[in-house]
Amino acid sequence: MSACLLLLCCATGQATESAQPSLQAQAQSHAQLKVESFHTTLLAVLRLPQQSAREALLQPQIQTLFDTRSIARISLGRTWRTLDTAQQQAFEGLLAELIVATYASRFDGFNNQRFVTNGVEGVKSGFVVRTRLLRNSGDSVSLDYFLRDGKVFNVVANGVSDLSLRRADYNSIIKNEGYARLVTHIKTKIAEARTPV
Amino acid sequence: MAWCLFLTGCASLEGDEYAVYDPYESANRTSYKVTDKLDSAILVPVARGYEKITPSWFERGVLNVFQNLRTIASSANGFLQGKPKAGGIDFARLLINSTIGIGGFFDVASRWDLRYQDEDFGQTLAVWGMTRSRYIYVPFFGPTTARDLPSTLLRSYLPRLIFGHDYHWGYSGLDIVSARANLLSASDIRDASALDPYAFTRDAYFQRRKFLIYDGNPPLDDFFDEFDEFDEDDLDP
Repeated sequence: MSACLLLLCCATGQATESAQPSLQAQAQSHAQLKVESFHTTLLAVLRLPQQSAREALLQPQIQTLFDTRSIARISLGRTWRTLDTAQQQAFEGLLAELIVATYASRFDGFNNQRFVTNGVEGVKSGFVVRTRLLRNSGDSVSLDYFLRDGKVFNVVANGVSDLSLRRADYNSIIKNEGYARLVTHIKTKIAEARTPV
Repeated sequence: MAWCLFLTGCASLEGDEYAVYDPYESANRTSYKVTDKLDSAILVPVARGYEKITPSWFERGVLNVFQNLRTIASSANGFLQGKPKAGGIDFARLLINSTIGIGGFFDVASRWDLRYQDEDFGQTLAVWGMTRSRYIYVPFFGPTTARDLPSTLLRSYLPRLIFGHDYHWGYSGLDIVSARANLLSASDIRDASALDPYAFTRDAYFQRRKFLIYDGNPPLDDFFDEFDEFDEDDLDP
């Protein structure tokens, strides 16, 4: 509802400047709407008691919103090119599973959390949707969603990039233990996320 | 003198600004392992216990008191960085919270939209040109860099420097436990996500410092460059 109002306000503002909203403005509104829809899902996920139910609700949203292929490619760095197509697809699937399981385990209790959208900025060949997660305690976390070609490839929380952390983490494991061990580690993390605390 | 030479060395480092630079990785990993074991065995259980028995408003108040003491350093560094507004806001916060806020327990200034500016001497050195610096994992203190080391050490001792012998060691203990309790959710995320917690912590530290140096607004293009870098890599033969 708030997203619709926000879009309506954006559209009204633009109409005074130009009869036809630019493609850029349309794409920005679309990016904002996608992120807000994801936040609505996260708030619903917070109210679900079971990890499996939370994952079931998140899975289709993450599949459509996140560019898991790019995230997999950038996370693996040069190792990506040493994998054949089947291995690349398998890794992308594993990473998508990890993202879903991680979100589902972190968003596991509703305590009046709220999301607010602070705006959308066009940068280079993509957009940044700037948002904030407000907690009941009064604390807040800035969450910036980086989109390219309409999909999220990076989420930056309080200035810390999820993609950059993933790349540093994975490449350290590849360097010290090899790609096969990385896959094993990721499977372990998925299992841990699904284990009730 | 030796310290000046050390810092001068930081200034002349080549490579990308704010990029991860860890020439002492082997020693740092050992320091991380020892510190992490002590943290998990002693500090984390104490911090969890503290969090459990303390009402959240009181926990927040204790954090506010110690942050209020450090506002002195934050204000000074705001001015040193040529940001009189930031320095002035912190100075006003110090006056308001120390008096109306009863020794800093209540953050009255934030309600008047005077937000903590979170400046330190490491950020000042970065603004002065020491953008790239060697990573150091100091035993018991945690992640820092050669550039940030003075402010990392000063952060712990500042209240004692202000109050001298009147500052009881018990207060230092409360400061440490309170700060650790505040970091529990971040370390829980690290434990749940990281495959190599050392590399994860190091990368997060460098990113967080860059975020603070840019006062919460690092260049957005840098995040897209990460993406483009690999696009270009893919075109390599």
